[in-house]
Amino acid sequence: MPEIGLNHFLIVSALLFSAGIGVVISRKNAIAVLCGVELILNAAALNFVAFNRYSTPDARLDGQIFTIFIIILAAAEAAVALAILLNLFQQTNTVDVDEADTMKE
Amino acid sequence: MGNDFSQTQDLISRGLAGFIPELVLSALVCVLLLADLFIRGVKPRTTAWIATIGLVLAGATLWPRLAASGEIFGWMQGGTQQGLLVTDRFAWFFQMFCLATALATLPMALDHAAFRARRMGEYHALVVAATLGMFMMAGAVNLLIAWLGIEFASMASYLATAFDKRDRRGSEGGIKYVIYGSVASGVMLYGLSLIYGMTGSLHYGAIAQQLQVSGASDLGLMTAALLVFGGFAYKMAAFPMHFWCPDVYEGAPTPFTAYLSVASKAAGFAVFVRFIAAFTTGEGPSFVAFGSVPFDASFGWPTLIAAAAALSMTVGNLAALWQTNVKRMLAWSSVAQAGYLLMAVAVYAAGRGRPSGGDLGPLIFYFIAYFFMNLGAFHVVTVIASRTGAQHVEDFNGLGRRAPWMAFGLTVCLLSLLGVPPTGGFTGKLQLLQTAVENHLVWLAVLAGINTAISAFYYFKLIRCMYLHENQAGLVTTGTTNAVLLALLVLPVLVLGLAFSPFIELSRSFGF
Repeated sequence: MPEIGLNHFLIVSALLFSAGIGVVISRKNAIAVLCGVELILNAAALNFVAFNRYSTPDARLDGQIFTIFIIILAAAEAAVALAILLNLFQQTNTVDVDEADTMKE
Repeated sequence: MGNDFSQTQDLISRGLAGFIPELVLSALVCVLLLADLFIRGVKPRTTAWIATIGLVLAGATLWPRLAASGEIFGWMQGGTQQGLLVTDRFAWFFQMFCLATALATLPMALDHAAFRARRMGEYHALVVAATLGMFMMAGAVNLLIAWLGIEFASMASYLATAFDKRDRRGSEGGIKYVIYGSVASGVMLYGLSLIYGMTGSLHYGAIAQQLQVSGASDLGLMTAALLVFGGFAYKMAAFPMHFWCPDVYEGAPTPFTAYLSVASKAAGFAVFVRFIAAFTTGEGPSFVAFGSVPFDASFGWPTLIAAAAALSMTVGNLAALWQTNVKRMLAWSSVAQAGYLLMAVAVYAAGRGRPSGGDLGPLIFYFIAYFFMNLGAFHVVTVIASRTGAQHVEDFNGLGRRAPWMAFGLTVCLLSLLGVPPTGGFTGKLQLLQTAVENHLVWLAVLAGINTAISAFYYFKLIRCMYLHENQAGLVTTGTTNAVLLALLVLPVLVLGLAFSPFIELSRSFGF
């Protein structure tokens, strides 16, 4: 049983990132797309924490602090996106991003 | 412990002293929101005046920073100072630029039909908040602050795009903006985390040092660079992240579209140029880590940026040809303009390390011209649209007779966007082409020339409608404020085209 190291974290985060991209590309429901974005953000946050723990020799906490900001920003972004989405839903009765196409020429 | 505390206190108080314009803007956001909430029946004009006074105050406190240089909120690390934000002439220029854009779009917002009889404090607060985010983008020398600045500006922009809640197109534009935007920023963030992992630092100076000392794995850095470039391209509205542009520009309230197309693009370029400066060392034309085999030694940031520039201008101009909606046409035109501007960044990245290279003058000059010509064009579109409901190119038929001065102003701005003498756009584009040729990017300069010819079709389509097509509709009255603003925006376009030498010198002095 090998000890858990940086690579394990990086593999998990790469998987999370790929899953997030997959969701963003394949789903048409705006809320599902936002969930995909959360996965991408969490993948990056995991990277920051892991890199801070394993590859910065001195005791600085840059990566950890960055992660706190990512968590805050993710919440704020979700709030903004859902507010706009709610407004669109009241007008069109759908959260399908493909339906938002009245401007195509 | 006590010593540490007093040091930190000292650090923060010194940092805050250099942070006054940003504090003024933060206070202005709060004041605007509170005025909207607590003053019963507050008029749009009142909140616009509050915003004007606040922005002018921020500009006055920003002015002394022209002479300042150095990083603020910094600490000593390994013998070098590492800060979060930098105050220098380059940051000063772009901060003043965004502030001026916010000021210039205020009268447009007052004039916008859909905004009448609405509480406008919230809208102004959003614009000021976006400007605050752009201040951070222009001064960021730390990956965290760069990303936070981008997010701050984006989030205020998402809300302002969807501000008119009764307008379905506004909501559609808003949801597209927020979804594409959050994906782009997430992808960029993943790239930033890889850069942090490979260099162990968030500070640009430290990253540059680390890359020079050790290098890093080619493949890793290339992946990170591509991911990060996606995020920056989104803010610059450049290929490959340009597709949000037409829908958002069409859906957003026109005054905000004007703000977005000028300030947001400028801040995107500012944050990108600073980032690039850290990643291109003084050694040669290519990105440090790409220099060795297995990749062609000529591949690197300059090549990447030049390719993005070429595709931006070509895609933008070709798509603009088919547009019948004026705002969409100007949106694609702004994608093409991002391509021309990226040309200057490619030259800058390629020229770092050469004695004559690293000159940001052409970029800055083109931005000065772009400020006037693009805002001028959007100003006329706002004024005409709020009086006649015009959206399509045919709605501008006969405008040369119905509103002669507005039509004249729009014509000058379009000719400048096209790059015809004697306008600022011509001088700016000439400089861009000249520096591209001097720096062995002849193919890019030729492509830009071909693109200029293509863009003539759609710019002239609008001009032809205004002067050659008849329309029996009556005269359009425009009001004094609008006429004054038009003159303030159009005259500099001509001045920059006729008496350009002092401005070329001036713009050269804003590089770093």
